[in-house]
Amino acid sequence: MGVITIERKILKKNDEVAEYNRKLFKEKNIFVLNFVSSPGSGKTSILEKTLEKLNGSLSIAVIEGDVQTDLDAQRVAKYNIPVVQIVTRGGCHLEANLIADALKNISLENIQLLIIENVGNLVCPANYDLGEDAKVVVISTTEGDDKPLKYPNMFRNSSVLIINKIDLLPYVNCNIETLKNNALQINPKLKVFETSCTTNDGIEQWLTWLKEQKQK
Amino acid sequence: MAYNLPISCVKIFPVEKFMHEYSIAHNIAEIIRQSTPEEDLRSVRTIKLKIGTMAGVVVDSLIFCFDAIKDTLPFSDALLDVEQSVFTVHCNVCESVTTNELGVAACSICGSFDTTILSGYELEIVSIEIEENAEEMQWA
Repeated sequence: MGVITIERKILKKNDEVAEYNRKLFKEKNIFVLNFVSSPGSGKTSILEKTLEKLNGSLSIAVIEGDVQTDLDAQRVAKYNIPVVQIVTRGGCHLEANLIADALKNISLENIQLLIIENVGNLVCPANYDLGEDAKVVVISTTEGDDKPLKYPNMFRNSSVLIINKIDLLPYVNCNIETLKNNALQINPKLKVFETSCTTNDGIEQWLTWLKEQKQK
Repeated sequence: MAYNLPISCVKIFPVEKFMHEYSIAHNIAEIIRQSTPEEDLRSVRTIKLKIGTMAGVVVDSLIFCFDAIKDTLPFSDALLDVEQSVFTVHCNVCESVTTNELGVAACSICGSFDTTILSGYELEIVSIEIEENAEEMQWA
C-alpha cells in the first residue's frame, strides 16, 4: 500500500471562501454577525427589535437563510433595508459560497452592519465559517437550561450568547443561572445578554454592545 | 399565505442541496481528487479521517453519505477509516491534562476556566492509502 499524507481540514474549501468574504467585509468596513440557534428561539424577533430600535442610525443589510419560504425576508424588509433570502430547500445550514453569492445582490458601499440569519439548527451551522466577525447564538428559556451541554459545538464556536424570552422564566422549567453556567463551561469567553422581545428587557444592553463593536 | 416580497428583497435558490454530512462527504471527495495523481485515483482503498467527538459530525451518517456518492467517483472502492479524537483540555493554571465527554472547557481538577483545548474538534483528512499494482491485479 502506498500512503499519501494529506493532513487537510475537510472544510478547507469553505474556510477559504469565508476568508475571501472576510477580506471583502474588512475592505468595505462592514461588521458582520452570524445569528445561529434552534428554530423558534427568536432570531428574527431580535433582528426586528434591533432594526426598530436603531431606527436607521446604522445602515444595515440582512441575509436570511431558511429551508423554505421568504417569510423572514418579508418581516425584515418592512424596515426598508436590503434583504437577500436564501432558500436552501432542505439544506440544514448556510455555507460561505452562498454568502458570496448573496453579496452580489447587495450594494455594499454604504453598509455598516451585515446580519446573517442562519437556518434554525443548533448543530450544523457551527462548523461553517461564513466570514463573520462573530457568531451570535440565541437560546430561549423555553428550550431548557441543558442545551449548551447537549449542543456544545455551537456554544464553543460562538462569541455572543443571547438568552431570549426571559419574560417566560416564571412559567418554564429553566434556571437561567444553570443555563449561563452550562454555556460558560463550554465556552468561558461568551459574552452573555438576557433579553425579551416582548417586554424589551435587555435590548438596550444588546444594542449598546452592538454599537460599541461597530466603533472598534 | 401571501408570498409578496418587497422590491428591496432578492430571493435565491442554491443549486446544490447539502445535508451537513453530505456536504462533508463531497468535500472529502474533492480533496482526494485534488491530492491524488490521476492515474492512482482508481486505486484509492482507504481514506483516513480524524474527527473529534465534539465536531458535530455523525460518523455513521458520513459513511452513509460517502457510500451514496461513491459510485459517481473514480475511487468507488475507497472506504472511510475514521479515528475519533477525544475532547482533551490542558489547564494553564494547574497544568493537568484531562478529558471529558461533554466538551466542558473548565479544568476538571482545579475548576479554572483558563484552559486550552488540545483536541476534540478536528475535522481532517489525515492520509489516503493507495493499492499499488491495482491495475495489474484487476487484469491478472
